[in-house]
Amino acid sequence: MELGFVKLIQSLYNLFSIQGVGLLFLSVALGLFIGAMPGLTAVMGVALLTGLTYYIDIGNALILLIGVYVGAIAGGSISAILINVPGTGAAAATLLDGHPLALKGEAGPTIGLAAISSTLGSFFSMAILFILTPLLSEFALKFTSIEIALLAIFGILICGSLTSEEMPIKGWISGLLGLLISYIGMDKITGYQRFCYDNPNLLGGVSFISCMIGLFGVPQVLSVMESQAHRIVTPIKGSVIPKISYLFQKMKLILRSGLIGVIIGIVPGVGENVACFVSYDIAKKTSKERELFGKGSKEGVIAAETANNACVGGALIPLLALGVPGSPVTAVMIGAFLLHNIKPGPLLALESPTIIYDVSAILLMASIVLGILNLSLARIMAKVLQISPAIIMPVVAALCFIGAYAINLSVFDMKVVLWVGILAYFLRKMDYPPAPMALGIILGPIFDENLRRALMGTNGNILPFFTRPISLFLVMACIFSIVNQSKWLKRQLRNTWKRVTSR
Amino acid sequence: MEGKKSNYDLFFGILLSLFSLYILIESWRMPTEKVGGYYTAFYSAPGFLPFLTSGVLLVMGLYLVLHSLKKGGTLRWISWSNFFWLIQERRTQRVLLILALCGLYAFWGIGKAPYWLVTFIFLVIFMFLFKATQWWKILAITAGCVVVLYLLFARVFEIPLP
Repeated sequence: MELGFVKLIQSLYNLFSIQGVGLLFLSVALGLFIGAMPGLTAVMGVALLTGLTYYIDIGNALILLIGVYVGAIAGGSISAILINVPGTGAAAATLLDGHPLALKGEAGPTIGLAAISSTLGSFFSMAILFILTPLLSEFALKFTSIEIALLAIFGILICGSLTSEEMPIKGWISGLLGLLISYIGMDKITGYQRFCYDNPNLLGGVSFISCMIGLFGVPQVLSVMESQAHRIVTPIKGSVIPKISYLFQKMKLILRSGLIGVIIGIVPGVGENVACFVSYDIAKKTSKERELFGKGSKEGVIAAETANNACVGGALIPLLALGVPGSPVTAVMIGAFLLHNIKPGPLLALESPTIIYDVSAILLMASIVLGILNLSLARIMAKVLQISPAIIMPVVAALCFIGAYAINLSVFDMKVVLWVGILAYFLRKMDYPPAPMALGIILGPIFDENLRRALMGTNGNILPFFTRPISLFLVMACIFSIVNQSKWLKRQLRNTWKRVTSR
Repeated sequence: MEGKKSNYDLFFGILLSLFSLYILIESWRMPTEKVGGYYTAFYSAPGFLPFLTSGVLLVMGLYLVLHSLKKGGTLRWISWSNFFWLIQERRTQRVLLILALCGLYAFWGIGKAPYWLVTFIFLVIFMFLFKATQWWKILAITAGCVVVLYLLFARVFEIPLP
């Protein structure tokens, strides 16, 4: 642990350069803008920037991506409070109380409260990331191909269940379609060309950055532009600096919301959109001023904003330790690591020993910068909100294509963006979440290679999947995530249990 | 709303089942014994996981079909009159317009003329069609954006633009 602190301080020291700090301020400000603008999402922003990071070193790439991630999640609250439209899905719970407070003339203090809550949430998650990731990485070193394959499939299953609550099968279908996309290209084990149809562009597989941009960028442009809604921006009145004494009074709520955010962040593929609602719901149930929730409760704003930003650090934990992204944004971020030949997962601590501490240091600094910028830029952001989507969205569309092209300098990748985007748009219209598909595309090669290697190692015997303690736990977790969502199976199990106990 | 959802689920369920069946057959046809000079077992064959995945997808597709039929889903909504009604919808027209613009940009425009020119035309037409702001502002914004994009990609990152 002491050594960890030394490494963290070393990483912080490395970060303190004009370039490092400047890039951090720039990326957090960009993130705040992306988050505040309805229609631009954190995942889309990170997907667009991931391509660019190919041309800079990994240290600066991480600053850029984490800064944008942290800023965008926090920035969503500005539009939620001022125009009653969440800038990102992560701020959907914030608007329930944020906008009513703004209508009461408290837009300034509410934005301030959301900003400080976001900062504390990020800070809290950084502490957990710093403590938990090395421990989890050490534990993950015990993983063999069997566990890695099971972990990949568990990630897709749980993400499917949690992002498509009404009908989990839609989440699973989305994840499996992602897996199918990942199989395209030359098979790593046998060299056979799968689903290439003599197209040389497909030999290396479908560029997954293009898929991510297509999944999260194009549908967003289409959804925003299909209807032209007018925005009414509530003016910011009063100071944006919240009362520190009030925040101290709510420290228990902040810590609890932070913990909820981190835990949900750790669950593969789920992320901020779920964390803010879970935290909001728990805050509502445990609050003494329950009747104020939905009408303008400051506690509601604190709970949602602390949790969604705490999710950032939480989502980075499984990404770094296990190679399984904790949120759609970290699913895209995996691309930045792979572009720099850094493979997140159990071996990360051995292959790139400083990276966990570098990420912790960036998150710590980003939290501080977020607090400063969120408070100082609030009034400017209120003006930015008046920019028409018809100006921003065409630029975003152009960025989607050039961002995909930049990775392999391939015009074919631009076409992939459009095809995947059209598919994702229609799937989204039919309530199929994009996050499991993203996870399927990313985890597909890991699942494919490790499962087949595991079976080759056991000569096709599947018994070791059930005899090794960790793999047995993961098998049970996979079964549970399916059974838990099936009403029919649940009913049958309940009836069987009743029959057994009544005897 | 529920009925509409069931109709779409039925349609997508059928499509998914057919697609999965196709992948299932394609995976089955992949070599299982000798690939690239190596003898393999079925579990290490290239088609093993696509076969498994499409098999599960087929089951899920059929489940979707049955589930939506149980909820009263039909395919009767697929008709020419509904198609023409959908085409005349403002939202559909806007989406089709964007797709057409993006399609022309990515499939036809890029590579035919310098990147900055194609992008400039794409942005100007996009903003004009969606009445973003006054024409002179559109031209100014677009020119600014193209310059920034060009400088960022071609100069800062030194990417050879298409």
